[in-house]
Amino acid sequence: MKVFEEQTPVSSVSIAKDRLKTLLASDRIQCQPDTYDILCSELYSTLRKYLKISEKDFDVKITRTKIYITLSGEE
Amino acid sequence: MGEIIVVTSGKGGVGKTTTTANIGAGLAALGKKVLVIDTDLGLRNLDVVMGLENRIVYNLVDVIEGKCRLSQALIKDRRYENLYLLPSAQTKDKSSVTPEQMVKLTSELKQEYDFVLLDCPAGIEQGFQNAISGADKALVITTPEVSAIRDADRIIGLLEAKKIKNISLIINKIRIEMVKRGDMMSVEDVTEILSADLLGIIPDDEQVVIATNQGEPVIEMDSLAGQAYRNICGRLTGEEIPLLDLEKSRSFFQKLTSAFHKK
Repeated sequence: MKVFEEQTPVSSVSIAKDRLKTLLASDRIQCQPDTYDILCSELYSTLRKYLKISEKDFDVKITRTKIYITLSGEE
Repeated sequence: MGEIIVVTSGKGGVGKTTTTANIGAGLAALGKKVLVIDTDLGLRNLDVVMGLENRIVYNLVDVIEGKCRLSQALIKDRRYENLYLLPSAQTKDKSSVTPEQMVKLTSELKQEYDFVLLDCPAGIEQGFQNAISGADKALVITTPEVSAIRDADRIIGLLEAKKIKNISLIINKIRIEMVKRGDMMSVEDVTEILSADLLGIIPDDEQVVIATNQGEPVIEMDSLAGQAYRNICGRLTGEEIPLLDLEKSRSFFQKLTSAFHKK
């Protein structure tokens, strides 16, 4: 039995950056914190009806003035 | 025609007042005629940071209400000939001044000074609205912390909504050894998250506390933070100065200890 199993350390910076991503997105469009995630998944399912995309190459970025949808992975 | 620059941040305690005092001093040291205004009504601080707290007779509200002439309220700095302070009122509240009055005052001051720096109160209420109303340019101060960055983003959004186009970022209190360890967001992280132009970076430096204790500007000290502020002042006057290399400036001893801590 491994009592002192070492966990892969997650840097506190990556946690901070993840938290800020959600936080700023919801601040910028003035919505609930989970709205950003819901928005992303709804946009994804809408686009998927028309485009061949997978979740890992789909990204939604909300800036102070624009909302960007990025598709990558097309080869 | 001078420039009106507001120093703001949203969150308190990130270094607005220290930055205003030191940029004011730094620009004066470069030979510019500078006025710094404390717009934090009810909680004045800039006078204390500059070591001028014993000289206050009149204040910003007195000038606006016409109780004295502007020249009677201005306090000349002890060190720099061409640096002046217009202190805030300690007993008035934020509603004693309106944005229109600030616009009128700053547009008059522009004629006489090369730079007018407005030390903005924390928050986004009337005090903030007053401070930004006459500004040509905004310096947004933040630290590499989640709460400060969140507030800075909000502030940048509000400044953009007020059509202040010239917005630049100063990242304060950086601890390079923590950045190296992955425990503090880097300059690149912060500028990318906020997607804003970077004007300067300031390390977390003990000398800032020491200088503030004495009511002296840190730019006069042989310190990294002093150098950082001097660089920022140079950039504000149009010089091209590369960002301070915080890594290079770590002492040999610091590098040695961190080498031992590495796994």
